[in-house]
Amino acid sequence: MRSPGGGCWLTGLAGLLLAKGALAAPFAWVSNQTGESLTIVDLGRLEPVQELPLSGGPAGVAVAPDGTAVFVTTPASHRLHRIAADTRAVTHSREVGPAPLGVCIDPAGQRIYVADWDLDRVDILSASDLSPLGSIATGASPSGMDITPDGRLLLIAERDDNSLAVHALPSGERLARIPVGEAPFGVTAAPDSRHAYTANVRSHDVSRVDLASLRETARVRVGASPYALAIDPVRGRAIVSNQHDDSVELLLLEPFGVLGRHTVGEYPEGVAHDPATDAFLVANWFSNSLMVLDAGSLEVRAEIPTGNGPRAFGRFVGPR
Amino acid sequence: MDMIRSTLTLALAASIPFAAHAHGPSRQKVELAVDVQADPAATWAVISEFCAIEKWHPAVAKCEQQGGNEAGATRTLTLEGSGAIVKNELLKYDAEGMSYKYKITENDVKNFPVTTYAATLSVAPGEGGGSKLTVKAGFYRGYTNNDPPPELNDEAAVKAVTGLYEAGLAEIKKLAEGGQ
Repeated sequence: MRSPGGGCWLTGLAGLLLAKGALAAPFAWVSNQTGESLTIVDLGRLEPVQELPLSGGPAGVAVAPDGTAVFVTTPASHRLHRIAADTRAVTHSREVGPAPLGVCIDPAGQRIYVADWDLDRVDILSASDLSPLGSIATGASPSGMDITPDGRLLLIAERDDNSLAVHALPSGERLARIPVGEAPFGVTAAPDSRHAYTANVRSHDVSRVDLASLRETARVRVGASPYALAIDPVRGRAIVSNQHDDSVELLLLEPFGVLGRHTVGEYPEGVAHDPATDAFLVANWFSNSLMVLDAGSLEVRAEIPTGNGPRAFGRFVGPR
Repeated sequence: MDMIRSTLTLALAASIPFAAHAHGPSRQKVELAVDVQADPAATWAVISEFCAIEKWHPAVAKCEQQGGNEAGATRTLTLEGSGAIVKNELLKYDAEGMSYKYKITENDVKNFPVTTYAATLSVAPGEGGGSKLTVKAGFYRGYTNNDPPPELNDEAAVKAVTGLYEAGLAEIKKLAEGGQ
């Protein structure tokens, strides 16, 4: 283990708890857009436990913070679904805008935010029954979203305006629209709620935005067509999926910079970090697989088959 | 060609549930492969020059390359008949792994109904000797808003890409097996 001792400790503890059965490893909920299903992956056993059919081309995913429910957008059928994690059944389904894609949930697990690509709008719904609670106007083609862990800011990547919108919660009031690189698609908040990072598809870089000054403070070049980011809070590092380079870029957050590039499957898209198993996860859209990388060494631990065309766009890993 | 046909069937089958809906675009994929009765090196030699496409693709009349066989190099294709121009850029080039990936940077959807197109060509040893040539393409349809006209929908895009590479792979196979 090359990284700070904290990582070893966490891994050791998680491993011990997993071994004693005190803590079940999380599940990854992988949306297969072409295959019209979700592949549920047990990150402890490193194997799929079920492929759940879901029509409408599932794309965006948000797992509730307590792991009890999973929210999935299906752009082709214009819907948002709520799936109960224990029964793996759709408990609620609601037609939203014409092109719902990005989805996220607040840290309290009460409100769902769904970005509609066509309407330039984010809809707010109740996490318990998907009843509508309001909406927020956005810039052009809102795609990825995230909420800072302190629950105070909603971040919206406005792809066709080359901007990151920052909205206050719960009011929804827009605080700033911050110019970033070209075509920001995925956005991820830092664990300390002080920064956000966008993956800019057309300028092939990652922007760092300071959430206090509400300005872009740095930008680093990564591989071709970056899509989404995931942060390892223990090591203070992140990966970004380079869609057209079949790789992930490893970034150091402080000081901000590129550490290196690691080959993954073809057309990597959704990425996540799982603290319980100390792993980065990468959904490979063309290869139809979920790759599990050691978060320290970035070596491939496993490549798990998924359904056809996994997107896994959003925070698709959660406890159970 | 049997190999091409069977893979093609799978690719089309996978795309059909999508074409039935009226909605925004989702990325499509086509994967085609052909077995070649020639060493991997011989098959790779047919395609290894980025501009060799003017020799192995019947629809390409002329190719002009800017830069070497490396990421960032570009080529300008002049199509047979129409004289239309298509421009490509190399994204990755791996001579040792016998593979390269490129994207379309300029194209009229009237000629080739796709957008945001990238494709990888790769050569690997065949299972029973010889070699296997694979192409994997990811792309969106020509019309990127809702309710596309039939000639610019998902099905049309998948059909065009499949047709493009059916013709290309058959010619590469012929050239490699002919020892050229």
